[in-house]
Amino acid sequence: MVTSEAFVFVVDDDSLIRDSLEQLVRSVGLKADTFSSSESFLDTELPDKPSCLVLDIRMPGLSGLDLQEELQKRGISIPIIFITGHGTVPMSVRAMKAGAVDFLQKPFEDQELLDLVHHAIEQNRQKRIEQAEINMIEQRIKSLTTREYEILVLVAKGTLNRRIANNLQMSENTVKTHRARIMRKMEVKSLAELVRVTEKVGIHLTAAKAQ
Amino acid sequence: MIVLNPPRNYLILIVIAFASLWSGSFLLAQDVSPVAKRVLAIFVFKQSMPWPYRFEQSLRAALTSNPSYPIELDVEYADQLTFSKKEYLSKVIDLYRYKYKFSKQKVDLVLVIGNEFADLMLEYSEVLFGDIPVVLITLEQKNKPRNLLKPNMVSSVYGFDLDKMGPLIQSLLPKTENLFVISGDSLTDRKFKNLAAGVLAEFNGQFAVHYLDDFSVKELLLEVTQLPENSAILFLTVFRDANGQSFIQRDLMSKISEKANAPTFGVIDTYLGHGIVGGNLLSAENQGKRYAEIVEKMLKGEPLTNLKFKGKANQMMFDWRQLKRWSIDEDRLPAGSIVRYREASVWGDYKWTIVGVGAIIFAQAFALIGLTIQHRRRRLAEEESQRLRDERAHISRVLAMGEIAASLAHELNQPLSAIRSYAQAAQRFLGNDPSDPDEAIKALAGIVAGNRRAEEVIKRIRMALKKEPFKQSRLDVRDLIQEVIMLVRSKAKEQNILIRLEIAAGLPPVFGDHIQLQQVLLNLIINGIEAMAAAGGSFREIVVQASGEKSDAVMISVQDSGVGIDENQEDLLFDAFYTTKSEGMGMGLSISRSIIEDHGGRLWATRNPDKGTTFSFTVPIYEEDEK
Repeated sequence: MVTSEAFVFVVDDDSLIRDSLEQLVRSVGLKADTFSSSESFLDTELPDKPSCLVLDIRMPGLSGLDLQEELQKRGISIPIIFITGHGTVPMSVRAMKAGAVDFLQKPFEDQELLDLVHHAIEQNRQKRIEQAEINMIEQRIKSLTTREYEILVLVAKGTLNRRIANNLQMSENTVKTHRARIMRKMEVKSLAELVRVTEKVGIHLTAAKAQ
Repeated sequence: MIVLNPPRNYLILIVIAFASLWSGSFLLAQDVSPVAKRVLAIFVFKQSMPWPYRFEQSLRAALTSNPSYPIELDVEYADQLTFSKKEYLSKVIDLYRYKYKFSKQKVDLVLVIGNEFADLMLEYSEVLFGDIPVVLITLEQKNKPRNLLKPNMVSSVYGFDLDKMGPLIQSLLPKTENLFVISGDSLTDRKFKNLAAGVLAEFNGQFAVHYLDDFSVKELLLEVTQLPENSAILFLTVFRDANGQSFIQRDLMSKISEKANAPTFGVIDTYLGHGIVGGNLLSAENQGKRYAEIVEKMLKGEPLTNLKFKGKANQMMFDWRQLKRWSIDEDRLPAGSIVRYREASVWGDYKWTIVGVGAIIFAQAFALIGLTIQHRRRRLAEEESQRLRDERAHISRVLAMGEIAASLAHELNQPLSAIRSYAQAAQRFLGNDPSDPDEAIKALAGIVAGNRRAEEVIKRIRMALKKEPFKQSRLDVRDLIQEVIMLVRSKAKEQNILIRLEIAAGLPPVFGDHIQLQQVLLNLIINGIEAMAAAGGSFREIVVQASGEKSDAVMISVQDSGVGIDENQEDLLFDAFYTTKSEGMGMGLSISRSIIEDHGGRLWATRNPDKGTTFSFTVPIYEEDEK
C-alpha cells in the first residue's frame, strides 16, 4: 500500500456517511479517524503525519466552510476534500478559493474520492518535506550573527566581496572570513547552493530583515 | 250569657272567644242561631252494615250541611234482625227510653228505618218519645190499617222500584226461562219477598218465578249451583236464613254469585261489585238525602202527611265484570245505565287520559324522530366537514412535502451514498491481497443499516402523502417528533440550523392522529426554518420541546430564533392564506390549528423575549378506556 503512515480524517454529522467513508478509506490501507462535528475535530491534536481531511460541507454548528476558515486562522495546513449532498456553485467556489483540494457531490465514485485522497496526502507529504527543509534553513539562518546575516543577504544578491567591504566599511579579507563562516553555518559547499537555499526562504529573509 | 255589643275592645272579644271555646260548645253561635234540633234515627239493622251505614252518612251530611239551621243527629242500630226475642226488645226499649225520654236534651224527631222497629214504634212510641213526630220507613205503607198510626206518625216506604226488574231481566237475558228469587226468614226478608212477589205477579213475563225463601244458607249455596239452564237469580235480602242465622248481605251476596250457575240480580246499590250483575238499584246515598229533606220540612212545622216517594232513588247500575261473565251485551242495557268495575276496557274509563298520554307519547315520538333526523343530518354534516378537513389537511401536507422535496431527496441520498461506499469498501477488503473478510462483513452490515434507513425515509414520505381519514390512536411523543425530524433535518442542515430536542422524561402517550399530528410538527418546523433563513444570524437553532403541561395533556412547542412576528399578528397567523412567505399558500398554520382543535387541543404562538417565535400546542394524553 502507498503510505500506511498517512491519516485520513473524516468529519461528517451523519454517522452512516462517516462510517462508510472510514471503511472505504481503510479498504485501501489508509488510517482513518472520524469526527461527528467540526468542533470535535478542532479539539483533537493531529498526529505529525501526512494527512488529509474529508469534510461534509453542511453540518449543524460549525459548517465545513467554517472549519476550513478556522484551520487557516490557526495555521493548520491540511488538504481538504469537501463532500456535499446538495452543493451550490458559490459554495464550491468559496471552498476552492480557500484552498480545498476538491469538491465532491454525493453520490460519488469511490475511486474518485480515493484518488483525491491519495493526491491530497501526497501533496501534504510534499508540503511537509518542503516545510521541514525551510524550517531547517531558517534554523541555520537564526544561528548567524547580525553581521553575518547582513553579509548573507548581500552575498545572496550576488554582491562582490569588495563592494560588500566598502558598504560595510570593512576590509575585503574580513568579508571573506565572514563568508567562510556563513557557508559553514548554513551547511552549504558552494555559492550556488547558498543562493538556492536562501531563495527557498526568500520570504522569510525579507521578514527577518524587517526585524 | 254574654250579650254582644259592637266590639270596642278586641281583647275582650278574644277573651270571650276563648272562653266560649274552652266551655266545649260554641256559645256564641248558639246565641245567634236557632236552637239546634235533635233528630234520632233508629235502624233495625246491625251496626256498620254497608247500606245502612251509607244511608246514615248521607243523612248526616245532608242534615248538618245547613249551618243556619243546626240539626244534631243521634243514631241507634237496634240490631233486631239478629236479636228478635222479646227479652232483647224490652231491653232496647228501656235503653232508648232511658237515653232519650229522660235525658235533658229532648229529641225533636224520630226516624225509624225498617219494618221490625216500625212495628215496635206503633206499640211503644208514646212510652218512648211522647208525641214528637215519628217517621216510619218500611217496605210497605203502614197506613193501611189506619188506626194503627198515631197522629204524630207518618209512614213512608223505601224507594224500591221493583217494577222494572222483570222487564230488565227479560231484555238483558231474553232466553231466561226461570227466575229464582232469593229471600230470607226475617220480617224484613218476608216483607220484601211479598213486595217482590206482588210486583212480579203483575209482570206478565215469559219466565217462571220460583222463590227460594225457606232454605238455610248452606242449602241455598248448593241450590244455586244446580239451577236449570236459562235461569236468573234475584237476590232480595237474607237477613236471617231458615236456620235462624243472620248475615251481612253483601258477603252472602258474594258467595251466592260465586257459586251460582246463573246471573244474579240485586236491589240495593251496595251489592254492586259483590257479585250481582246489577239491576235497578236503590241508592243508600239517595235515600239519606231524601229523608234529610223530609226531616227538615217536618222540623220546620210542615204538616205531617203520609209521604209517597218513588222512582228517583233508584239507578240502573251494572257490574262490567259480571256482564262479561254472563255474556250480556252492553248494548242491551237501558239508556242511562251506569256500568262500573270496567277492567279490560281501560279506554272507556280513561279515554281522555289515554288520548292525552297518547298525544304526549306521539309528540315525544315525533320530537324524537325529529331529533334523530336532525342528529343524523348533523352527523352527516360533521362527517362531511371532517372529510373536507381531512382533504384540506392532505393537500396542505402534500404542499409541505413539496417544500421540503430537496431535503427529502437528500435524506434518501445519504443512505444510498453510504451504501455505495460500504459496497465498494467491501469489494476492496475482499479483493486485497491478503483479503480481509472481517472488515468486509462490517461493511456489509453497513449496507444493511443504510438500506434500512432509506426504507424508513420512504415509509415516512409515503405516510405523509397518503390520504387517510382522521383516526386517533395511542402515540409515543418522542417517536412522533423524531420521525418528523428525519424529514426536515436536511432542510435545517441546508440552512445550517441545528434542531435540538428537549423531551421531558416519562411523558405519557398521547391520543391523536399519527399523520396529522406529524403534519402540524412539520409545518411548525418548516416555518421556523424559513423564518430563520430570512433572519440570518450565526447561531441558528430550533428547539423542539415536549413536556407534560397538565395532567391530561402533553405540550409540544417549536421555538425558533427567526424573524419573529409583529405584535398584532399572533392571531392573524392562523388565518388561511395569511402568509409572510413568498412561496406557500399560507394554509399551514390555519390547517395546523384546525387539526389540533380536532384533537381537543390548542395551538398558539408567542413572541420570544429575545428573538423569534414559539409555537406551542397541546394534545390530550391517551387514557386506557380510549380505544
